[in-house]
Amino acid sequence: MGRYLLKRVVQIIPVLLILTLIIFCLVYVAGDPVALMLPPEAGEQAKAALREALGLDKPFYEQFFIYIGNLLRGDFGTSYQYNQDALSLVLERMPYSLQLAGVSLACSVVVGIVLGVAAAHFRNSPFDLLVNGFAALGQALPGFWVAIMLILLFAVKLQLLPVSGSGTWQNLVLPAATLTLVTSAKIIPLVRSNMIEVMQQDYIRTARSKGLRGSTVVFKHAFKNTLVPVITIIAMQLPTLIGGALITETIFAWPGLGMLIYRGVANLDMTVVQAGVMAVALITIVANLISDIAYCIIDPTIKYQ
Amino acid sequence: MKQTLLKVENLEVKFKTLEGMQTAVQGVSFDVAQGEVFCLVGESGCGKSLTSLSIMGLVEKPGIVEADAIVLDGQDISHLKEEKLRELRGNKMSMIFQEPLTSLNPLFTVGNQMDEVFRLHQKANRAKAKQMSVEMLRFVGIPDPEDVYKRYPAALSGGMRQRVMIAMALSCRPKLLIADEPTTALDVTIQKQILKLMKDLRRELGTSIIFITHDLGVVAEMADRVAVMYAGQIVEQASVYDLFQKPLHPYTEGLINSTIRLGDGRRRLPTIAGTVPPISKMVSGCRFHPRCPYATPACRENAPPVIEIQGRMVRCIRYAKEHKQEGGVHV
Repeated sequence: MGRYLLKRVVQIIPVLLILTLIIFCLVYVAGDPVALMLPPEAGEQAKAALREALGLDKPFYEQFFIYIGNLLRGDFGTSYQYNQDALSLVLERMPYSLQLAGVSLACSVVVGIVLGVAAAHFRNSPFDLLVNGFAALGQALPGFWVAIMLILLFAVKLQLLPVSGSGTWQNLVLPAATLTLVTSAKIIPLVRSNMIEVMQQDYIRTARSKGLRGSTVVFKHAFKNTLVPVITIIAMQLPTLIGGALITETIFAWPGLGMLIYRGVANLDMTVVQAGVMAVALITIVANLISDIAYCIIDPTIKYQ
Repeated sequence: MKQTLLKVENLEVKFKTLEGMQTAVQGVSFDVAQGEVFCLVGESGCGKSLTSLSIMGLVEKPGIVEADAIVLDGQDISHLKEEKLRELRGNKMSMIFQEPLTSLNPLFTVGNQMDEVFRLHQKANRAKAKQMSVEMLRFVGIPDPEDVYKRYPAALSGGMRQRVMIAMALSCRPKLLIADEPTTALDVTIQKQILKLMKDLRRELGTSIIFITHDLGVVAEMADRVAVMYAGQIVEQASVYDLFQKPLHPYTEGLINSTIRLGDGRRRLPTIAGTVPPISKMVSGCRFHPRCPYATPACRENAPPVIEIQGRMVRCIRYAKEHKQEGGVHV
């Protein structure tokens, strides 16, 4: 277990290097930031001077190595948009993203598991049909549409919650509800189908033949066996919720990472985009690592070599 | 005559399907005496497993179990609530299954799964449960039980897992053990060991065993009495000696004739022509008549009565006639 963990951590290094190269390439081909940084009337000479000052006149590989060197020193560059260190910008927004993602994920997991298990238990009943319908809708409806409908209903019509912004718990409700709806809709069918499959296994019959309570059979013997695929999908949702909730964050003016990246892209503020994407990538890697460790803990028969 | 431990009367298992109600087990009645090994024999799908699951109360929806009575140790359990039935399961009656490889939960250690029984039925604490589990593992002949206690099922062989299942089933010294083809998935040498273990345990604990199998060799080795099932009904019941000595029902006869014997030489093995009718298209009259070499037009029309002859039971019209006319087949 310890050796496996060490191996996985070491494996992160090449992944990060490749990732850095991809991010750098994307930004490299995205366009010339100098044109945006200077007023339109600036002459060729001024542009060339700025390029030289920023090191943009150097060949590609040289720029890349300088970039990596800077990263290693914790220097992600300065955002011309905010006139601030890109890393500190990302770190400033991170708590907002973590808050929204954390609440949404927790709600999605609870809703997904409770409804999924219940639907499996009462399968083919009207309740099951209702839950399936909810899951299908949640997957089919685009997040931005759900967000706008929730705003219309709860903020405009009923005036129960604020339209957008941050700072109070009321601000968190609508964006979290939007993300929960979309995310739990992915968890429900997975939990349901896994649970149905597991409940037909021989060891469930054994558990029942021992005289165990129905709830012990479901929540101890069956549930643990459905956890591996459920954890996989949760781990896959986490980065989406943190960096990828960009439309939801933008609609609700939630000052998280998603909105930062969105603004960065819109204004060709590439240092911010690079730092933001890097942060999301790191979270993805960590989420995968945690889910791998969780597999090992849940299922002792999974052997990593 | 030993005291009766289990009495099943007129058991029926039905399934509600899209094509209407279908009966998978019909009119099954039998007794099991204390300390007796009672074998249920028959082809796949004849209702052996359903019969045993009905006794345990483990037939799942959409299955419906009906019986005039299922009396276990003086108590009619056919109408017990799930809550009360749970107290009996794993305690007074327990069951082991065909597939030892999949019958243990892969995500919990052997110890964890064994402890559950003691903690549930005997209210043992953790330490006491562990001690009892290890003791039980030793009892079924598992070498190094402390080590096996800590292992996950995946680390054990099929034979070992079946021993663990037996240990678990016998934990509370049940009066009735139902063994549903416990050796079918094991290779012959292990099969032999498990059968010996079960015989030894029966002798030591005096447990009655309902042993379900399709293997007549196993029947000959294990059984005191035998019930032969065909298409959801018991067609013949007799002591193991009588059954092999002189099978009454044509189906039993066919089964016994189609086994290989030592010294057979190059004999073509006889088989029973045809297949078991599916429950959705059950034939009229005697359920065996399309495959029966002795079938008469009467067999097609009337369901044969259950006839008692010399302490045996057979469901065949031939013996009804004989009783009336004092002729025909002589027993």
